[in-house]
Amino acid sequence: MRGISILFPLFFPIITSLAFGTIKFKSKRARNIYLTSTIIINFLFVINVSMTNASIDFHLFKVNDFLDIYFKIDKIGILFSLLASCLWIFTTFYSIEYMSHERKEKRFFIFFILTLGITVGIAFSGNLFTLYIFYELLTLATFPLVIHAGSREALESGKKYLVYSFTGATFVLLGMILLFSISNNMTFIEYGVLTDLNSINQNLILVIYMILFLGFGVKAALVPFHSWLPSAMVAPTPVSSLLHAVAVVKSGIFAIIRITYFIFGSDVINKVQGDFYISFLVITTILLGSLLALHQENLKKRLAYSTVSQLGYILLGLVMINDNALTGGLLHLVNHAVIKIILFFCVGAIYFMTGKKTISEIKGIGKQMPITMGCFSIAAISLIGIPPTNGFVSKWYLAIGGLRADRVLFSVILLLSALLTAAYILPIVITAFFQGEKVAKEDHIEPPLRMLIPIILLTGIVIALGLFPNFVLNFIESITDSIV
Amino acid sequence: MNNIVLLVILLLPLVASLISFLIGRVNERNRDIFNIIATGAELILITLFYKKVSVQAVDLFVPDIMGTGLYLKLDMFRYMFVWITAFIWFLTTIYSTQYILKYKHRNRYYSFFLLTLGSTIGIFISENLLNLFTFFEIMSFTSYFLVIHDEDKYSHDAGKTYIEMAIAGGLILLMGLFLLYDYTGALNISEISIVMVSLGNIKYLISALIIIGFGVKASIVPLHVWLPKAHPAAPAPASAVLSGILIKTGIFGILITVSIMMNGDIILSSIMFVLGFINMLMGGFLALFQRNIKRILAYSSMSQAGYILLGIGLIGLLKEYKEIAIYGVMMHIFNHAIFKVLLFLGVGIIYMILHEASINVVRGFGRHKVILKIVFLIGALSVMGIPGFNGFISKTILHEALSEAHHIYNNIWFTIAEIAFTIGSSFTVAYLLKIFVAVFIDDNEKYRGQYKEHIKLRAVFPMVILSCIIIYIGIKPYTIMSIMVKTVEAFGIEGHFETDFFSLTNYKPVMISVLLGLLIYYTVIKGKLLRITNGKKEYINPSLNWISLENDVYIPVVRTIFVISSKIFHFVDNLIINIIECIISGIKMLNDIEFENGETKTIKNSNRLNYKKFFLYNKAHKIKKNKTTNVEDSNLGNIVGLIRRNMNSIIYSVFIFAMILTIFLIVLVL
Repeated sequence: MRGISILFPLFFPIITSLAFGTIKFKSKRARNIYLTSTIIINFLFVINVSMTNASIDFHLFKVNDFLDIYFKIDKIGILFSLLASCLWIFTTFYSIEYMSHERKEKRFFIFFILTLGITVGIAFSGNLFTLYIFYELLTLATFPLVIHAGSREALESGKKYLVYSFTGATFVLLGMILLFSISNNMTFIEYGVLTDLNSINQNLILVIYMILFLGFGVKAALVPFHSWLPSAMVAPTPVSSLLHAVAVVKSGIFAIIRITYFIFGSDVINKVQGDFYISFLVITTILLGSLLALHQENLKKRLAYSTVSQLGYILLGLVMINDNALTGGLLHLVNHAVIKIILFFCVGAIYFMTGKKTISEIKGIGKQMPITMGCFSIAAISLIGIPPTNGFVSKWYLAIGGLRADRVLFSVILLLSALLTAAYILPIVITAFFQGEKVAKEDHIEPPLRMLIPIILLTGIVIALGLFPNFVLNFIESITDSIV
Repeated sequence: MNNIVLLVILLLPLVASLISFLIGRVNERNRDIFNIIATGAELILITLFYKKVSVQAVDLFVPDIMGTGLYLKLDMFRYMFVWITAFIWFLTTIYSTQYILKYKHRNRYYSFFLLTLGSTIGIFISENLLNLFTFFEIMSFTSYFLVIHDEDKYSHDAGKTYIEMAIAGGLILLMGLFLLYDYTGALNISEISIVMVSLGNIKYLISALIIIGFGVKASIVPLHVWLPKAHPAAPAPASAVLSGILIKTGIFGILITVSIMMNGDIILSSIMFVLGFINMLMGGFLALFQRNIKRILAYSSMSQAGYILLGIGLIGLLKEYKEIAIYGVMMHIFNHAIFKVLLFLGVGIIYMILHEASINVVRGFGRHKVILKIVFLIGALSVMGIPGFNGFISKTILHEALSEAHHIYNNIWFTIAEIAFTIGSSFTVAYLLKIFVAVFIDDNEKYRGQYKEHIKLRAVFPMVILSCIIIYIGIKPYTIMSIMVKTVEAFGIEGHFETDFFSLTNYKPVMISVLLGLLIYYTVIKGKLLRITNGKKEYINPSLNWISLENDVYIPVVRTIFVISSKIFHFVDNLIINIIECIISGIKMLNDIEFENGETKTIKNSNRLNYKKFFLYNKAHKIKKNKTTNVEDSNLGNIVGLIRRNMNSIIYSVFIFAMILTIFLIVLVL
């Protein structure tokens, strides 16, 4: 029963989060220790699972071939689960400090830990059905986080979030049923499960692929299903940063990788030209995100539209179906997660310390919070994709992938979007540093260390991954080699 | 061992920048001393390195950095760039210690000043184009902080134009590199030149993109817009390096693209040749009208960059006789760095004291300041290309290269080119005469030799050194030219070139352009631009009212595209919501039709049917509703409204879930 070790990182957070709801903590300190140790232990579980070289799999229960809860470990699952649980640690420290200003901390942390378990569940799902179950659970578990504030606006956004997500899920369910009817197998296998191509109607495959792509695309903020994301920014900052820039949206991307490369397989997609139709939507996503970000006055909304556009980059990497582009896409999945989490943390720190949320309010904030805004600037430069930061490395691979696929247009759009990115992110930096009054050193209002240290460490990662990307790059290349 | 030194040369300024920042937080004086030592050490290191480099090129490969590895190379061709960079930085750092005293943010200034040095040297010694691009981008960003140092409205405006164009240029360059890597699979400059030849027409696209990217820095018309704004905005020592060195990074990029990677392709070279002339004439012409001395010098840099560009064009056009053009280009790069820095430092002294660089205000300032007057005169004469100063040497070589090309091709275009060359030189004479006469010869009762105590030795010393070099090279050009013999090898030929500089044939074009320059000075500048109102002499600048490339072309075009695309994407953004709202309001409109008593039976039936649906969804309201409302009076709109109000989000979602599933299943069944 070695396979059972796979369940630890998955159910440990779920159980602890339920326990968290029942335990009454004597002090805040005890609660904080409980929280952080949970997250760190879970991180160790994930590492433990990933270190075992042999592929582990485990059937939790199986009714028939369709209704089969099945977990399996492979490299891409490891990548995603490591990314999520690593960033969860940073966010936990950050949110312990941040949430002290918000009400209902208990509810927040229950669902916060719960979401970790579900995200790991998505990463380790071994077939489409399991993925779908966890995907739905993710929506439900994050809903209370979105409506945390309890205001009318928050409830409205929560409703929008649910409606969009369930619409997507409907598409997925439909696609799943259709898929099962032609393949009788939904396990994730490299190069896909559709082996006997000739007997199947190719148009049907195309339709199924499109349905599934659109369904998962809702969470990946694919235009035109993206507008829940900017609305969901009413949530507290740790939620926006971790869930709506990393866990939730990347789950959508991850699911799309699964269906593209593990269900259909790159050859099939190429054959039915599934990538062709999708790429229009993806291009619109990239341009729309970065262009509309320019119009946002609210910092978090601006970052949300930026997420839309950056997710477009990753999707672009996926749909070009070649190894360079996929490497770039996966690399950007990691890099964007780190970059965006810094940006959100900084914006959250500004809100936490001063209560300011819009660009016009933050004039001169860089003089008050030089370290925070310094980190913000580095992350901003990385977001544009300027060397020597990690954003450049992924952009390089994406663009080369685009050219290898003979689509010069894609590379041009990447650069155009980079220009727009500069146009929406640099004014924040310039406003923060070069406007407003000069402040004395005593008036510096850097956030508490528990918020500041995660920001600084993550900024270090941005530069380290920019200078020495090979550590991640080699791992990702070993993934792409086996699936393209 | 040698390659370790190479790494030290690159890293020293970067590390020094950090240390300087830390020291500066404690003690400013120590920081200044440290900075001078650091840049001095860099210069000494590079100078001592000459022996090694002149024997054999030094290279260094560090794998794994940025995915492709860091590949540095220092040969004699690059050595000249590196040396002049370190040299100028050393002098400007000394100068800065006095100049920057009165400014805020001194610590920031020095940190970014040193970072810019490190990245500039990085550009010159990168063999891998990706590394080169990295340093190029770092330099763009670090020099941004030098441009906006004053943090007033003008400098922020200039900084904005600068950074926008730098980023856009950088991205175009990156596009070129993408294509280059895709087609050649190589990123090392020496390997690319071999593969490039076999590519088809795509190589023109690639090199055009790369040249545009570098051209922003080299201020090729029409990409020069940022230059006349940014150079005057920065503090004088920073303007000096911007004009003296940073322009050269762009030129360096163009030089390796056109002459090394493309092997002096004839089409590309002709284009560079023409662009060079446009730059030379346009920069010189616009400089005539400016009133801010720093802006005159900025336009002058643009015009001098034109000389270098046309030299790059000539390298390709001359084919096997190209060594003369290479000499011209390299010499002019070197000389321009020296005399332009000298002039900027000179103006900087005036600005340091008066905080004003407008020619109308500082008129007559230098009349009684002998040293300043002399060094400025040396710099000015050198730019004009007067024999005995270094500018004469490089301009003569370039002119000879042009005559050689005229001789080879022997067509009307080269005759025009020679005339244009003379006119360009005469512009130079005229605008420098304008500065010199106004500042150092005109009399102004406001300035009678006071302020002398403001000019410290540390500020004058770098200028004196530069003047000595100008004269030394002007008199003994062969010393430096013998060093350059090895430089030529980078272009794949071995050649030596000698000419008798001090002969009547070489003096003749100088004399013509000086005479023409005097003519322009007296007719245009004295005649048209100088107005005497109330006994005060004032220069006017009519070019302010002319069409401005930035305000009348770039900004409106970008704005129009932006507005239109915003409209489109706003529409797409709300597409789904709009569609749904459209459907809902459509249903509402249908349902708002009231059904009255006495209608046909069918409608009544349907009405009841709908009402049943309502009961299904909303049992809680059933009894209450039945009591208060009449069946015939109610309408469907109310019912839909009630459903909407009473369904919470989850049921709503499930409802939509079911709806879509049903619709799809129906479609599939059909």
